[in-house]
Amino acid sequence: MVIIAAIKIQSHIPLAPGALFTVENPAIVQKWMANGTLPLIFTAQSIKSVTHDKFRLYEIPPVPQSKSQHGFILSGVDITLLNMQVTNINCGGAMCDGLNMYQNSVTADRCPCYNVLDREGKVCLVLSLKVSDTKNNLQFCVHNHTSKSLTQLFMKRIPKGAVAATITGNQKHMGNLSTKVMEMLALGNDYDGFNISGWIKRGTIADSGVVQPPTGSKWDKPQQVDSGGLTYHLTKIAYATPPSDRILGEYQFNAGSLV
Amino acid sequence: MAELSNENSPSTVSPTSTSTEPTVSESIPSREDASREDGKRKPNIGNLPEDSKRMKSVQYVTQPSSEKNESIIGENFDDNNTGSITDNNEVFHKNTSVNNVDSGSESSSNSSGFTRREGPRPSELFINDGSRQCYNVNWSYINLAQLQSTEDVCVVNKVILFQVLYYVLAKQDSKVEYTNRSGKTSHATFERMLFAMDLHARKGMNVCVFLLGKKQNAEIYSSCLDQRDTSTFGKNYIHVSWLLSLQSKSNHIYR
Repeated sequence: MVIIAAIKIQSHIPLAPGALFTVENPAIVQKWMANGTLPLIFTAQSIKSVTHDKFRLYEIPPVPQSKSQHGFILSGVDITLLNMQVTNINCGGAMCDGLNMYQNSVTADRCPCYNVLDREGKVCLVLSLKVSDTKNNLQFCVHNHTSKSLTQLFMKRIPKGAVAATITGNQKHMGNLSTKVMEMLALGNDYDGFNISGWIKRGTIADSGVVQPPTGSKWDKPQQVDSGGLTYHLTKIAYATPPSDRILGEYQFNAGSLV
Repeated sequence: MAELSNENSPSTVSPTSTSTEPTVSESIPSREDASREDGKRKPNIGNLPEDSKRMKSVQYVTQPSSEKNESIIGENFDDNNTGSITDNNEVFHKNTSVNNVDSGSESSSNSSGFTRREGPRPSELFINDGSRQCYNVNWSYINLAQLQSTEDVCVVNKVILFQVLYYVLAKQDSKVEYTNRSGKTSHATFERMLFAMDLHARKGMNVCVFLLGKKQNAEIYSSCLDQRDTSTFGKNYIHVSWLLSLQSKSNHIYR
C-alpha cells in the first residue's frame, strides 16, 4: 500500500473590504438604523464567501442626492496622488484592511480586527488621492486614505521591524517612495485605469437657522439639516488590468532596503 | 479588482451558447495606436516588457433572431438600463427565464429606480470553500428593497449578494439606535459592525449593516473556513488531502 499525501496550499479571499459574500435565504428586514435608511441584517446561519474571478463587476455610480448611505463601484478611473504620509497602524488581521485608521488627524488606537494575539506595528501609507472618472464626468478627492493592501501594493518586502520613522526620517527613502507611488499610479492610469469601490453618505449638521432647544442628554439631538459637502470614502482600489508580477516588481518600492 | 483580467469573459455569456461566445483576439497595439478613444494613452511601451503590451479585445457575434427575442426579454428586467453595463446589454442569458422568476412580492422590482443589473448569476458564483461549488440554477437573487417591502416575501432559494465595504469597531459605550416595523425605537449593543453593499439593490439605497457581537449574527463566519475575526482570519491555510492508492500484486496485469 502506498499512501500519497498531497499538501495543497489554498489561498482564500478573506472577507476584507472588496470581497463578495452571499447570504442564503436572508431574513426579512425588521430593524433599521439611521432614521430608517440603513437596514440591519440578522441571520442565524453563516454567510458564504464567493469568488467572482470570471466576472467583471458592473459599475454602480455614486448617487449624491441619496439620503441614505450609498455604495458605488467605478471602473477604469484615473487616480493621481495629492499627498502622501507614512504612519504606523496597529492592525493585526486581514479583515479590515486598516481602513479609516487615520481620521480627523488622529491615529486610531486599534482596528476592527484587532486582537491581542497578533499585534505589531505596521507601516501604512496615508494618501490623499484625486479620482477622475471621465465616463461619468466625475471628480472627487479622498483624503487620509489608509489601506494595508494598497500599501503592500506600493511597497514590497516590508520588514517587520520597520516603522514610519524609518522612512520619514530619511529624505532619500521618502523621495524614492513618493516617486514609486506616482509611477505606479501612472502605470494604471496609462493603461486601463483602476477599479474602485467605496461609499458616500451625505452628513447632517446642526441647523444654525433655528434656535436649538437645550440638550439634556447625549440622545437629544439638535435639529439637523443636510450638509453641503459630500465626502467620498474608498474601500478598495485595484488595477483594472493587473500588470504582471514582474512589472509590479520593477515599479514597487523595495522596503527591504530600509534596514 | 486586481484579480480580474481581460481574458475573462463577461458574466452573462452562456457557456453553452456557441453563437454568443465572445471571440477573444489578441492584438499588440502599435505605437501609433497608443492613443485611445477615452483619451487614455498607453504606457511608455518602450519601457515595458513585451507581455505588458498585449491587449485583448472581446468581440461578440451577432445573435440569431430566435435568441434575440429572449435577449429582449432579459433586458426588460433591467429597467434601469443606464448603460453602465455596456458589455452585457447585448448578451443572451441562457438561464434568464429561470433566475428571473421571482417571488410574488417582486412587483416592486418593476418600480422605477429598481436596479436589475446583469451581474454574475448565483449559479456562476463559486463558493469560496476550496471546491468549485456553485449555486443551483434554481437559485435567484433577492435584494434589499424586496426584503424591506413587506413581511410576506418568499426567500426560499433566494440569495443576496454583498460586497464588504468596511468594518467599525465599537467603543465602550457605543450603541445602535434602531427602529422596527412598528416604529418603536430601541437600542442594541455590538462589538463590530460590518457595512456591506448589496450589488442588486435599489439605486441610491444599497448599504446595509450586520451587527456582530454576542448573540447577534454569532454564526456569521462559521462557514467561511472558520475565518472568524481573529488572527487566523484571512490567512492562507493548508489543506491536506490524502490520496490513497492501493497497489498490490493482484492489480498487476498478467498476460
